[in-house]
Amino acid sequence: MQTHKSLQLIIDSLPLLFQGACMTIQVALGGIAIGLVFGILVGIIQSKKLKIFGLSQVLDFYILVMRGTPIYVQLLLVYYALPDILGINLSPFAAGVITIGFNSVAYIAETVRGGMNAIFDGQWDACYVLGYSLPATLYHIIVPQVIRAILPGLMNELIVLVKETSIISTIGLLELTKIGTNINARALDPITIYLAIALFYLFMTSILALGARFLETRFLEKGYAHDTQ
Amino acid sequence: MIHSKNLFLILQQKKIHKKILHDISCHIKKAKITTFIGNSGGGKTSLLKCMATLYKDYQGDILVDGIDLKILSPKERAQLIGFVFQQFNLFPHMTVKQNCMHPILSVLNVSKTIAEEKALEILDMLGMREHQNSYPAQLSGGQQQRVAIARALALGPQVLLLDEPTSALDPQSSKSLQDILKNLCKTGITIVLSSHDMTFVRGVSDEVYFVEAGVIADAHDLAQGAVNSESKIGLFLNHN
Repeated sequence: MQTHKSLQLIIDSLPLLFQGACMTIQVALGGIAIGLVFGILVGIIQSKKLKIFGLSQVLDFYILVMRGTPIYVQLLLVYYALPDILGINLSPFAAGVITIGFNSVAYIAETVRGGMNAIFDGQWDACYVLGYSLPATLYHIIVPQVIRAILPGLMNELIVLVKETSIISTIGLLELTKIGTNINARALDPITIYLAIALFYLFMTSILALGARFLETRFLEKGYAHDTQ
Repeated sequence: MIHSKNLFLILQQKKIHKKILHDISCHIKKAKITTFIGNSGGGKTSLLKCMATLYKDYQGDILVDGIDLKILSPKERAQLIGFVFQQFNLFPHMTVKQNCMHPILSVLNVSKTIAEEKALEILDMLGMREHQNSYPAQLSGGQQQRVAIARALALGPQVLLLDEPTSALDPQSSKSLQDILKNLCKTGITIVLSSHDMTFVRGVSDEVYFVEAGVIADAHDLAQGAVNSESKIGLFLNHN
């Protein structure tokens, strides 16, 4: 009887849960876009070969702050304090994307920096003697190797990012967790609702994990992982 | 072909200035194979790296056909001098063909068809065409060496520098490399290399320089006759 009730509750809630999942995906995609673009850029700039005195210290401080403070506090600052400081009003969606995105920039940058520093100096030397420009060296030779090397860590960060979107429920954005909380307030069946939400998150993160595994397998097939350089 | 005049190189290692090369002057002849020999840490690799401007902070001059390497653009320099690294430094995410094609496409801005033809022609010359779709990690040391030479030749350099080219090769591959270098030399390419492998040095060199503690301690043109067994080169050749 209870099972039947739970099943019926899930079926009835599905349209709303899908709506919430769509919002979660939108926030996650926005965050991933910001995180990847700026994270890769900052990671490259912070690598030992390309460090710029002055800028490097500023970026170090940014990474220290972003990694050293809770993302919840960062979200509250962006949503409640930033409008006071800059005189602009941010929607919960914009505040969420900005917070999630710029928080992940710090983590992705550190992952990329580690990957860049792990590239054998000989690869840079080879590009130099072959007359490659710096952009060509980075785009064609160094970054593709870095991405392959850091793929597991990078995908880990993206999976964490998807799960972190649930924190935006605290500023009222109707994403998956917030919708689940609202449904539970009416249905009073936390086990069913929160398990259903957990399955939604599991489905979304599994797609990322499968994508990562697919890419890793492709690289292994190319024999890249057996290289000893 | 290559004139090195009063070459000094000082490198900073952990806040200590270390003299690497001290007043090196030498003349490397066109379309000949010149070898730098000597003990480890003597400065052979550093000298080659100066010739490729991988070390740019040297004092003195390195002139190739009268041209100072430091004033050349990256493209001009790459078309003048090719470098084969001791550890090959092939691009691991590219196939053998891509390793040779990519520099042509990227630096010379020619069409993909022309770049592919040129790459395959060089791979054919070095007997590596059948491995064109393999990745470097799937090849033996000798095969990687050939691909590294092919890549260095892709831009049509007049000078080919090779750092310890036989360090990862078995005796048969080493012999095969001798033939490859001699054939390249016949096409007009000037070859400069550093080596510890005295069998290889005897078999391939036209001229030998002995580098010790950053200076050229002895030199011998093998075309002028046998090496004096009491000279530094003679002693080194006979004891290694």
